[in-house]
Amino acid sequence: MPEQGTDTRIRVTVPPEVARAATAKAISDPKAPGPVLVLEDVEVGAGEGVTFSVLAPSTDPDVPPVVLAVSGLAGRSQETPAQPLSKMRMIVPLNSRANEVLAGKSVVTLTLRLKNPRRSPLRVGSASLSIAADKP
Amino acid sequence: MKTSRRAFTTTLTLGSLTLVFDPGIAFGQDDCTLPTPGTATRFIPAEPRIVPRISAADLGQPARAVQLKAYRDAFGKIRALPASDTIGWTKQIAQHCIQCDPTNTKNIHYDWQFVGWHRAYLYFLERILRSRVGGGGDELRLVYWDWENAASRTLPAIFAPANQPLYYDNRGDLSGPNWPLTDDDVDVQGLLAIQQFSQFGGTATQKKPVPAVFSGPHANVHNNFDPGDMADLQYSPRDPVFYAHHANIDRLWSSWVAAGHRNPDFGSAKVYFYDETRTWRYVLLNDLRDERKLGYQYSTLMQPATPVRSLTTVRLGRRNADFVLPSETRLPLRSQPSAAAFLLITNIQNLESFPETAREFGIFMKAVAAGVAANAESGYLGKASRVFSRQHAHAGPLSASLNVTGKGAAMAEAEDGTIKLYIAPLTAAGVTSAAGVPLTAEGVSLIR
Repeated sequence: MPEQGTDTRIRVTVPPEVARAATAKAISDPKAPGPVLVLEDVEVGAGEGVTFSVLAPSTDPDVPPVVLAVSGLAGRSQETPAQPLSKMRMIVPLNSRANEVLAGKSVVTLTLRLKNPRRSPLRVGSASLSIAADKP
Repeated sequence: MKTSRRAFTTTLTLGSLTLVFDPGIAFGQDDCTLPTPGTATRFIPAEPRIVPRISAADLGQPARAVQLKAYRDAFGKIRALPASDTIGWTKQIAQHCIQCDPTNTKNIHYDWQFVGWHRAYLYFLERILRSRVGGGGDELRLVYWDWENAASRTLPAIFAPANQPLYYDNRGDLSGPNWPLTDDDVDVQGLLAIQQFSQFGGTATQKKPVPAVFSGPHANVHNNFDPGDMADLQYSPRDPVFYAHHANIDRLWSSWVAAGHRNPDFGSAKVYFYDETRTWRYVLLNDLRDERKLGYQYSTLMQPATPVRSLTTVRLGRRNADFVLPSETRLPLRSQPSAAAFLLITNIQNLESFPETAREFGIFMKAVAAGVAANAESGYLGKASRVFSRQHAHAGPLSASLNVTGKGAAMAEAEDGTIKLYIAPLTAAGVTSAAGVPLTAEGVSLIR
């Protein structure tokens, strides 16, 4: 997937229970939502609004990345995050496409792509996946 | 005259809440102060009648022309009140602004107050609107912007015309690339599936986490108005469409509860507002959990995706390098060959003999030669793909989830349930580029 200036790449371990649930949902109901992505210590400016897409690479380099979520924080967009900066834990529910992406995986690389092309990439402390949806 | 909203302020601490108040000086719409209140008295919602909150699209139907006029008139009366009036438009905006001032360490957006505070904010506005309408105003309820519906992905029509009280002139570029909203912008399914309120609506601790319902569609809709005021965390309530957007967030909370999830016990946590009599009141978050006590329910709710069917996972045993189907799974595999089944293979470990550039691998139930089309092989189960980053494979092991529906009978064929699995690299055309080797993995499970 071609990297853009607003991208943050995160490598996330897929816990076995998440992989199993994703597999089960991929089989039984293609519309069932995926797990949640938990982003720790997302750094944003005071009152800053950000919108970002969570992207997974397609296995075919000629196919666009898969959008797993569009999320963010409400507020004015800022090119340079205003002081004081703050760090937040964000809960990002992933959509049904995530089940196919995560089924059977032990690790996955995701991209957080900011909508604002002039903002520096998001700084994220760590990321994890957990089951949020009804268990199969 | 524009005066800094920082001027002439004092602070007041109410329990865990610190607010900034002014001594009653009237500012314009950038006013972010409230008059210093007296002692707050408790407000317990107990509305005698439950009236539906309908969508903005419904209110725009010709048959509701009289109702729409009354709605607009009520907003017009609030907007015409003096800026210093605690039930006027300016102070309505200030009630929100003051809560998310950068100096406020209890920002109502970043903890479990988020859904309850905004429910109360809309409820008190609704009461104020009703109080200004007079006879017949008891029916008035706010409308919601049902942006989750594909037909409602732009500004609702009732807010668009100029020279009427629902109009606002700073909405960014409504014909720009942010519009219409996309399916991904307003996907509520993931939120409806969250089981714990602590993730859905946050905890008592700021930003740990930010409520999931604050992110996602809530934030995306606000931000799509950028550089309009709807994208301003403090001043978005200047735009009348704010209240329709937040009614839909409130509807999302109602839908989450209707989907079978539980609200927590908020204990003594409370929120503060001026009511329609200009009296400073507090409401316990616990008293805001049931919207019917506030005199409304939504004409429709958001529906969660179909519940996932019950499935069973069986881990295959090991016999030397082979995998063994437990005996209790073999008969069902033979008798119900068309039942959905997946084979989950975790941490495939023997890929060293294949080129580092190999991206896809076929997995087979029998030995396979180089140069054959995987799909044409009777023992072909499916493929696993490596994830590349900057054209390099991750160092982590490969796992696979194979849809083996319809192949169960063949898997159960062996009397002792032994399955020999092989793996071979595939070209982009799905042809084996090398002969397969016996597959080694940490574990294999069958999901049915």
